[in-house]
Amino acid sequence: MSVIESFGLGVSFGTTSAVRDCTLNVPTGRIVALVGSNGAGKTTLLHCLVGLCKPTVGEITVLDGTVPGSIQARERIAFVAQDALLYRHLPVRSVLTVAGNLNSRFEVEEAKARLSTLDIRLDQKVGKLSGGQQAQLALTLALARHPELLVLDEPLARLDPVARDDIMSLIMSSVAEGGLSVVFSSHVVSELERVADYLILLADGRVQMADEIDRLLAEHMVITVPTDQVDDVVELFPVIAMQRSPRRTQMLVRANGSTELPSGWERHEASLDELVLAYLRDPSATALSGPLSIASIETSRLTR
Amino acid sequence: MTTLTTPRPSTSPDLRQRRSIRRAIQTTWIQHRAALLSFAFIFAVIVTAIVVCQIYTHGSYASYVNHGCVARPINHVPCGDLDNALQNMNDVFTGLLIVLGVLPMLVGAFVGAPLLSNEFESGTFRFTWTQGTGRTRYFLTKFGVLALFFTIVTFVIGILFGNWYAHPFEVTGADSHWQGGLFDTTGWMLAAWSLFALACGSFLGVITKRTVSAIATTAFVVSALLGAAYEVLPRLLKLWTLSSSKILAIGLNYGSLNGGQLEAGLNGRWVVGGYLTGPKGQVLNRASANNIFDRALSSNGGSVGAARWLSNHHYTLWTTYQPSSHFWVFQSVEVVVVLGLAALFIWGTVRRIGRS
Repeated sequence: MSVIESFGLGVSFGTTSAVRDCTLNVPTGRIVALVGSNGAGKTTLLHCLVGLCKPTVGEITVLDGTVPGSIQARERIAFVAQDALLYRHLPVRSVLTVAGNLNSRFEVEEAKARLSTLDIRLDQKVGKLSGGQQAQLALTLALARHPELLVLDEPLARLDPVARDDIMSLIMSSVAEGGLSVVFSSHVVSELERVADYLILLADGRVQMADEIDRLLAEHMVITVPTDQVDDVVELFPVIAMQRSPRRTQMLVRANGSTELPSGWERHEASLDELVLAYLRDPSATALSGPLSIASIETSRLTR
Repeated sequence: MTTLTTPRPSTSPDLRQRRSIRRAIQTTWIQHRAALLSFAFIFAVIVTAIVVCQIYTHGSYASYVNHGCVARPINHVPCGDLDNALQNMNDVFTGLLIVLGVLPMLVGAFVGAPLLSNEFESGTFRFTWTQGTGRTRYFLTKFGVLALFFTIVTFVIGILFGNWYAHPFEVTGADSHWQGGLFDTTGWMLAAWSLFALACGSFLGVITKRTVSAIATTAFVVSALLGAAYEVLPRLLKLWTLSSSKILAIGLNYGSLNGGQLEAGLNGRWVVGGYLTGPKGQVLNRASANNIFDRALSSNGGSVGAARWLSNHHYTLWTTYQPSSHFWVFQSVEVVVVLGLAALFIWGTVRRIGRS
């Protein structure tokens, strides 16, 4: 049962390649965080999931083999675009009516009840709502469709910490009700660990890392060693990132937490923040636990 | 644990269809309320103007008919005065004709063009395209509702203007529905051009993806095509003509055969040309024909005397014309072309939004 399955997915706009060689298999029921630097291809990948963009090469399916953009997919997937773009000149009530008319499973009363708890008045024009309220409204509209997959493009961007917390709570409570998978892109790495249980890291349009967050954390650790022993660490483990000082050096390495370390070496569990930032800083690094890309498969075959 | 679920009431196909139509109308109304209200106001003003002006014209026209001026020479005194009175009222008629001439362009620019360009410009297409309805059905539904509204209203206006208000001016020869302006605004032509403009605006909106650019481009394209139709019509009317030697067309300009100076039965025809044949049946060239005409007109008795002179010298004046029965054929041909272009634009729009 997979919520996203892609093989060799590539999307190009003219001569620019936005997503390349993207192979994924994400199980259902996960909250998936899609992370990457600006221009990494996050929005393009999300647009592919909801049918706003078609693959140039390769293929992608959602919710167990459904083609994105098909009527079956549209009924089961809700999307909240970056900046929560809605009809700014319309009152909230009218937006609810439009959304109700465009979806067979939309629960207007449920959406109204949720908006009333958020202090969003139905007679207010969407353009007059704050950024946080607009994001809340867009999310409410999406959840009132009772989707099986909720796709959110930068839902936390431009939100203050309180609004960010409210959005995250709303997403988590919806997931807790059951039957919902969530994929969201974000730059706010600190928020990921609290809500996400699956991570996809994109760099230059390629999947750099994709796996359960718990597994990724278990396969990495931070080692602090005397600086003159750095070479010993490099011989033993793949090093992802290094912070060197004259006396001590701290390194993020890919290694199982149960690995025995020589005396004098200190280790602690890597946080998701440390992990993501390290990989973002080094786009050439690839976590082995993630699915192999076609290119890496080819490379490994050639080197055998 | 037992979960109790309430079964959804089953709905008949009729009920579902009615609900779907109601939803389409409601969505279109919510999103295009301002444009629809503005055009409803414009249409109300036009209809009121037509009704008031027709009632105002009706008195003079009734006198014109009662005096038997329809089939009587114009130099009959009361007919001449009544004819002048009706000619003076023709200014308002011409003004309304100009307004109706630009109406399709306004519909295309201010309703058709923003239909999708606005969605692209504001980014809301990411919301609507990803809803359960889908982009193609969303566009076709909204377009269908708007097309129905504008087609019905412009058809009613076209009939009111061309077949009711224009009648006195047609009979007196002041105007003719064969003329470019009236031809494209009467009968179903106004509705066809409005539908075309709506489709053209939608297509250009999805191409430009910018509202102001779409409005400007649509205004230009629709105006250019209406202008082209105006220019092409006189050439088209030279096709499939009939010829007659019975029509006393000496001294008449080419065009309408309406007016009190003609015998009854000719109203509604459109003269497109004429030629002169000699005693042996040969067609005279322009110079020879002009020479013969000068000699005929120099005889006493005006056009009747000239006709007698031509007959005595075995010359025959042939008039080529479109019979009134051809009018609907020509309008049908233009309607088919205009609606065909509209269908192409709708197809292009659907293709384009499928790729966007």
